[in-house]
Amino acid sequence: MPPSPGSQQVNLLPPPIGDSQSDAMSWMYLLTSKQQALDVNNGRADINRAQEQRAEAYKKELEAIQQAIEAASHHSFWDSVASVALTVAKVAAVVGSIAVAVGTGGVGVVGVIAVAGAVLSTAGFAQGELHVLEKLGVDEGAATWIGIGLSVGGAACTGGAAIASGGSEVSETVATVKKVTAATTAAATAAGGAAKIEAGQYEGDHQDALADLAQAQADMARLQRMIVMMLDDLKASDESDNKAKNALRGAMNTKGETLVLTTTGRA
Amino acid sequence: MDAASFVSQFRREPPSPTETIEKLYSVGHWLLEQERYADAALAFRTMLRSAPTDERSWLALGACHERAGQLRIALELYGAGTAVVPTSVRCQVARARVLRELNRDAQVQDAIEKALELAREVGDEELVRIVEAERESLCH
Repeated sequence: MPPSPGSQQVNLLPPPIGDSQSDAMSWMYLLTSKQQALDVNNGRADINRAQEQRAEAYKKELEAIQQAIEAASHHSFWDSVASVALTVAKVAAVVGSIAVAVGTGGVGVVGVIAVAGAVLSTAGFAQGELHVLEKLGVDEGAATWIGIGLSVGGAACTGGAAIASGGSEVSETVATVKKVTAATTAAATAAGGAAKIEAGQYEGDHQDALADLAQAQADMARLQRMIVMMLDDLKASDESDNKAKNALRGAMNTKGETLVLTTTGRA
Repeated sequence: MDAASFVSQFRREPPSPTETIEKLYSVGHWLLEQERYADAALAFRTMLRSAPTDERSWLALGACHERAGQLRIALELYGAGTAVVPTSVRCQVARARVLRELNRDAQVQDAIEKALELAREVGDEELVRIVEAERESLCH
């Protein structure tokens, strides 16, 4: 970045190639109109794909849990298991599908994160820093949601290799995801052979799962809010792009007319 | 060159994707220098979506927010930059600077050590010097 006035810090932004001042506004118009159309389409496709995968995973999880509930509905104990398992499964389904959605390949992961970063930036300029961060549930000590999302997605793809490069918060989240996934698996196992589960063992796992669930839900709720914001942003991009193009087209015409008047001496 | 000629030349010889990214960066950089942070962010946001693995996208967009006083958003963006481009020494240094501004001293140390480690791994002596100077300035 260009250093702040009075600062002796090294400028971390490399200088641009060529003359950045030449026809900056024209480049802005041409490049944003071209790139933004491309980005909106790509972004929309990414999000639609993510939503479809999430819906599919969610549907499968609900079907499995429904079968478990039906199989054990005559036991009150299993009613409570099913209740917990249903909640856990919902979160696990969301966690899993987001991981799958963003983990479909390196470009997919990075693309989704880039769109999310762009949305954060747009919202920040539009609404102010505190408002948008609070809306996302980011507090002073919170891990970065972007890092979490990426590392969880990457971990799903690489079988955990990506975790090594993440921070401690990310590792904790991945551990949480594993525990929640394990809890879901336990519920499915229970449906297949209820008699094999001991109440004491379940109680301990239950408490762990509930404690981790709260954190997992908070993280996932944050990601879901971001996805909603991304959709809103993509819709708004279409509209604002048209407005920006019209405004810039007007500015360019004015600039062109001024140039003509200047060069022909008619001003 | 007037606008019509410019458009016509653009249509005859459209720029390559690489050239497009460079021009976007160039325009955004110029706008940032003019302290037009919201306009610069528009250019860098477009660049980010098109070239998310280019560390300059994250650095530059983060810089817009940092200069606009939105330090925590800048921190999020630099953090994302380090996740998407794990070899980015500059994103780590930028992150360390913001952490320092936010008085999160324990995390500053971690970020700067990570940056130094990366710079040495990359084998770029200039980057190593930059990070060492930064460590001196931020951690003492």
